[in-house]
Amino acid sequence: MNAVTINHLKKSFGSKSILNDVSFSVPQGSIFGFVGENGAGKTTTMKIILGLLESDQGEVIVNGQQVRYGRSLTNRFIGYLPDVPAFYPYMTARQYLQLTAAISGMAHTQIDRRISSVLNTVQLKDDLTKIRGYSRGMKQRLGMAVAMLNQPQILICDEPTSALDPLGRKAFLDILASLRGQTTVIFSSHILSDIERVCDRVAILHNGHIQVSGKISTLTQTHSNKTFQIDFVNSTDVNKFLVQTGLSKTTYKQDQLTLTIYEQPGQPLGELLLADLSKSRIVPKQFQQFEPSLEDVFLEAIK
Amino acid sequence: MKQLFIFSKKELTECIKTKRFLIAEIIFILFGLMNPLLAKLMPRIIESTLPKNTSTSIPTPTSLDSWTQFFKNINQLGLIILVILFCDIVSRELANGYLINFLTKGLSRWAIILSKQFLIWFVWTISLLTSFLVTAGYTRYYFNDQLSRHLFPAIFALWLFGMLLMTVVVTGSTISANGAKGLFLSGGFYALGLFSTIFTTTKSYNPFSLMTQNVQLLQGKQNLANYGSALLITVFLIITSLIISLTVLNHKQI
Repeated sequence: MNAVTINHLKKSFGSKSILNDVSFSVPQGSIFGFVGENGAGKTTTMKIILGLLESDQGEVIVNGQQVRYGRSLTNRFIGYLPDVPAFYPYMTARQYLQLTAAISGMAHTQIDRRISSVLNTVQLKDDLTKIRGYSRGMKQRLGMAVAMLNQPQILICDEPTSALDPLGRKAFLDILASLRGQTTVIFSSHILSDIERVCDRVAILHNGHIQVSGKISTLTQTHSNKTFQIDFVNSTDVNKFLVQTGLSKTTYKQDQLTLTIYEQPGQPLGELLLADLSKSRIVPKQFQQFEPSLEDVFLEAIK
Repeated sequence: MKQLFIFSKKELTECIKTKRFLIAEIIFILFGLMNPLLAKLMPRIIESTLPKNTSTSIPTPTSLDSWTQFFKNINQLGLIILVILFCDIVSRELANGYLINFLTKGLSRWAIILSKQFLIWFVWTISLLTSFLVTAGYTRYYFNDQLSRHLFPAIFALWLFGMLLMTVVVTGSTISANGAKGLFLSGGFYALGLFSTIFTTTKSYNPFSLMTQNVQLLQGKQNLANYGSALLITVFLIITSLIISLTVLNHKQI
């Protein structure tokens, strides 16, 4: 069953079309990466899911219920972490979470225990420090605590790692990864390594369309191919090898003594290249095989 | 209703912690102290500015002078200070993105507007009441006369007009993207309204009469019943302005 389904979503700001027939679905319990360049429309899509923005066309279904702009009924299933979470600076983290818990209708008996639990999860001190004294990373962690406060079934995080230092990023991704199987996570980012590290599924948004969508493992196999890199000792070896293999110019790139060769779909290349090296009696300095990555899928998708 | 109560409590706490309430109170208490004192000292001030050996009879100040000063200060300064203090009451929250967390946790948009409206009405009422009580106390102390007999109609008219202006402040702040634009809208309303008082034929209908005729009402030269239409129009404008605020925020893409 899908936690979120988006059908034929369209959104323009003035004459500028941001989303143009966007459709994808997020299975329950998955960690779903939502990838796109800056300004691709990731935040717009997320705000439409939350009912904060009105779409021009299309529908969004959350847990089987249609999202209606301006009404927040489906938001009871969702926790949202904005890209730049903003809090009242004069409050402490606990005070802010108490206010949020009261607004979300959490039972009084649960509030203090739940706040201690989420503050512990995001590793934020439960002290009297006012939020105005928090660093960007601390605010991001408080944002995560707010999003997780009412134990949402769906967690939407909008570029949560883009402004964090490497340690903060790692800590944040660990928290997301720990939610696997319990909470459906939609995680937007343009940092592909972060997506690849925690997500099991991805959708790539480009030019207002979802260019590709699916399991990362499947996409990397079907949408991109292995590459081989051979470092030769001298240019004679390079030329001899090219004559032996008869590679078409479109399938490789030469950078002085290094050849990067792209495998074509359905044509395993590794053994053939090794055989050609052997036949030409060439011993290269280095022979490397690269598995396709999400970056390759992304670059191919936005071509 | 529960959300309205929770958010109203937050608004009041914020108003206290950001010192807006304190600033408003201090200014209105100062007005309260200054009104009777200025009235009392005015003859001496005028006397000291006149050349020596000038024989002029400066009338003895009365409680009416103190209350005239009160209405002048509240109308010309007090209300404007409140407008400046609260002109970004909605736009600041929208511009900083403070509301996103709460809206995604199920906070109703109407609860946001109503809680802010209640707060600003509360601050105006308390500030006016404080200034009134301080002025009343010192006026009685300095001028124990019976000249200001129609005080309550005059104060009520001013209070109701202030309620209208405070509602317009919330509307201006909801429509505009920042405090400056909110100030421009509320200030524009105030300025246009003041300008409209030059048309004497519409005096009994004009809500701005409620703040320009206070001394006449105080002296009993005018009766509040003569301004029944202005009172009704003011209440109508308050409701209309509130509905505009609610509608605008409901349609605002956040």
